[in-house]
Amino acid sequence: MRITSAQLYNNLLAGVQQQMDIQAKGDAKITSGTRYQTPAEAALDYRTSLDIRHAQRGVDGGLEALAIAESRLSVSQNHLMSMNNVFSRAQSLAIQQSSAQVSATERQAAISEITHLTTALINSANQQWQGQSLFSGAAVDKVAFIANPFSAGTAVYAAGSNGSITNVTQTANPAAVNDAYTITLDGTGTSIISITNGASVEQLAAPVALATGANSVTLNNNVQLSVTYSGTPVADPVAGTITVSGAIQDGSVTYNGSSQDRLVNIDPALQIVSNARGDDPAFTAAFQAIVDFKAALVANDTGAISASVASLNSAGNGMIDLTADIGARLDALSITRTTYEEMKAHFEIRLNTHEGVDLAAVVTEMKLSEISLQASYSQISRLSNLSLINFLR
Amino acid sequence: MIFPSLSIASSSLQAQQSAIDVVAHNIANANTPGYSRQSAELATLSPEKIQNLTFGRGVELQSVQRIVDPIINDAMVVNSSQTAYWNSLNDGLNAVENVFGSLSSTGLASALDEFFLSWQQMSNNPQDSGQKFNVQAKTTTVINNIVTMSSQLSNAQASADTKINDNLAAANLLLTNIASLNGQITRQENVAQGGTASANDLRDQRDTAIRELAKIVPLQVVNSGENGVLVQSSNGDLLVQDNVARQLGRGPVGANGFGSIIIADTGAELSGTLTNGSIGGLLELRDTKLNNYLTQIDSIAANMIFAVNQIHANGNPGAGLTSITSQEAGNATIPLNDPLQAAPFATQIQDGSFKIHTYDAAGIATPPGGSVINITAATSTMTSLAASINTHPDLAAAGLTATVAANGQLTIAAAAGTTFALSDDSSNVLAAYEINNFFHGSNAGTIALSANIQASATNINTGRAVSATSEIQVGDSNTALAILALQNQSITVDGTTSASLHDRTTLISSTYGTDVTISTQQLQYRTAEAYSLNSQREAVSGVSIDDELVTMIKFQRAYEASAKVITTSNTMLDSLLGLIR
Repeated sequence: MRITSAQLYNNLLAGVQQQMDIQAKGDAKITSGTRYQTPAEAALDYRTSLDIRHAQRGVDGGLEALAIAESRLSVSQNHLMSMNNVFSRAQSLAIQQSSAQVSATERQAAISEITHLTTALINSANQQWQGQSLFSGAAVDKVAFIANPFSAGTAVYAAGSNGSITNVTQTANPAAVNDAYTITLDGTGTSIISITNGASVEQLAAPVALATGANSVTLNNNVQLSVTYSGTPVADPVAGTITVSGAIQDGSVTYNGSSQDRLVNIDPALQIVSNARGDDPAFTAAFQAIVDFKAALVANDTGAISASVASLNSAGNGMIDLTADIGARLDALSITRTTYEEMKAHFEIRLNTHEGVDLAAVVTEMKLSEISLQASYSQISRLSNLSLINFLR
Repeated sequence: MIFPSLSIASSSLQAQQSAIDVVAHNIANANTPGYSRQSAELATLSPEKIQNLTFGRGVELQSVQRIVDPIINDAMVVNSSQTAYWNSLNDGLNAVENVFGSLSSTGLASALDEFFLSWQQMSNNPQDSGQKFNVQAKTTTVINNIVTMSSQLSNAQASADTKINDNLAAANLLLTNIASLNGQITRQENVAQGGTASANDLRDQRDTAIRELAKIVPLQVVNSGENGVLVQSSNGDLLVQDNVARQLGRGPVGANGFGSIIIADTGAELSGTLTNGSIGGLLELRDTKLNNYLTQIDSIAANMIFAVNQIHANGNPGAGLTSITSQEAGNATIPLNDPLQAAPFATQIQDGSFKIHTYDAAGIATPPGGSVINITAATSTMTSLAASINTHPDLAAAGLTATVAANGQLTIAAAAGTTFALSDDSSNVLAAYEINNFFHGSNAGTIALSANIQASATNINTGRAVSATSEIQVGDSNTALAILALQNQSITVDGTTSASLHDRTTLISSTYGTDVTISTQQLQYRTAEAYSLNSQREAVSGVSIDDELVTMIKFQRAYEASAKVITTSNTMLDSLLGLIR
């Protein structure tokens, strides 16, 4: 095969271009620290990089969400623990006040303390964090609990077939009891022999003889009824039913929040509840127990005070359980966070391994290329000396 | 008898001189592209017979031959087309590299991750208006990325089309040149037309022009009977016959928005597809590769727009709405899902219903659970939808009104002091007509934030009215959570293969990367083939200075020897004439 000088120069030029390309790519790898920078350089590797970065972003978002959930639950736990302290004091007070040695005057003095404790309990339950109510569920713009004034409620009488009882009204409802009462007369229809509540529990201590006109009847739960009798007995013993509703105990506490939880998104497939909701039975029992205790003190009712010891104890246990539940959720979150932190570290290592340049290999390749380049330059220079022209005189 | 030797020597002087001229021409054109070395073919003059002896009469330059290998030349024509195809495709693909980002700035993929991260952050704090502004900002970034990618790729398509015009102009010049060279070669070589010698240099020029033309349009070259060549496109369209060239041009704009390539004098489109040549590469770039990326980006935009709107339309921003107007207009009297409707997603509407929850001034639901508005895809119109709302007893009692504007836009408005919310749309009518929407538009060219959200980020919906109770809470994040779930959820609204938005985005990058890799590999292969063919051509047709110098010395020596013959003959003549003196 004939070889022309043009061929030799062309081959050397192609070689130089190739080596220059290696040098340029090597420089890019060294300066960027990565094997490639664009999808054009490594299509599938680039896609894997995007996938890893996507996963990293998900983990970062998850860790951020976990931090928010942990903060909310930790702050909630702190306030629940404050409420537990209030409860402990209320329990101690109840035990003290249940003693027969305590006078009525001393019990009246204790009312002041229990009022303060109730206020402290409500304040803790209505705490906000970052301007959002902790215990009102998704209704973060609303206070979680509202203390109510007393309301006797409304009473509606449904007359039965015995027309001798023309009307029944509620005249007093000091304990704000909501119930439905069935009134039964004797066989002659001249006296009330039974008034049972919705649970069929007898509320009448003794039969009440009816006089024409209004008759006052006091039930075992202190609800007072006014029964209007026509004076004309009717043999049918079932007089009718009176339903009391909407009665609210003085100082009772109502949940004002939402039934929706506040969800925090760790990742699209993992959502966790980041709050304790005020309509949890533990809150209801706690407020009811302390309101009942106060009512018992106001009434100087030692029996009720003794009963409050048990209800306060039970409600306190409920609050402790709720606090423990939040603690357990925080523990679970801690485990999840550890997992996510490990995932974060894993993805960082994986990304570095995947994208990172093998500097030793690149430098070696560039050194080899440099030697080839130098040899090519030398050869180009030498070629001009090898022409016959140099030997013709 | 001395004179014949003078005559012979004289013929030699002429022949050697001419041969050295050929060598000089070779050396002069050693670096001329497309030049084929020439060889002086010497031959003895016809001998002279004297008595029974035959005497030679000297030498003559019989011809000057061009040294070529037609097989290599043909292979170079094919290779020129293939190399130019991959070169123009590779150049075009590399020119749009920045569209697809790099590891230091991953473009759409990163913007999409940030978009969903902002929804995640907002879902954790839906009551925080700062998070809504963050979602608005991150959405704007995604939209900008999509719009920029789309416009850059469209510009690249237009640029490729302009290059096709440039290539056609260059091809037309070459076609004219080849036809002209055909004529010149015929005149020079055709004895019947008075031609006397082979037109070596003209043939080289024609070969070069054909190779240059093949770089633009793939060719078939057939030698014609009269020293000319017949040039056809690879699909058989006649481009040059003898000294007649047919020019190429652009036809009327087709469905793809670009003019076809035609034979100018007939207006007929070039047959088949140009699978080689720079024009073939540019067509592949413009109509297949870039179009494919644009289609994929459009698909990402369409799926994101409709899927997000489907969820967003059923949500609320943590409070009731006072008034809302559909952002898509339409014909109010034809069915909502009629393909003639201007709303791009109208055909997505199906039989179903949605709920309107109304709230009094105190925020109390009236009634709880909302009012159901039924949609029958084939018969419901915008007018009938408004009538359904206006005649619903609960909605009428709440003072809610629905009106349809002349352009078909629906407006739902609550009575003063009251509010309403939308939910549970199983018919897609809310998303299709962009009622309570997040995005506006239907593809990468038209995607935008909805007018409401552009007006204020606080209009971004975070929660969802509880279907049974109508409850709305500022801390409800159900809408945000549902939109976040789209991140890795396979979706399709446009008939494409169902895939997540992330997968769709990374697929574009990897498709582009694979296209570049393939074109680079093919270009390297064809370039190596071109090197090899050039090398083979150089071996046969290239000028070797050393060879030429040796040849020159050889002819020079012969010339010197012939001159010596003349000198000797002259001396002999002098001696002879001296005898006379």
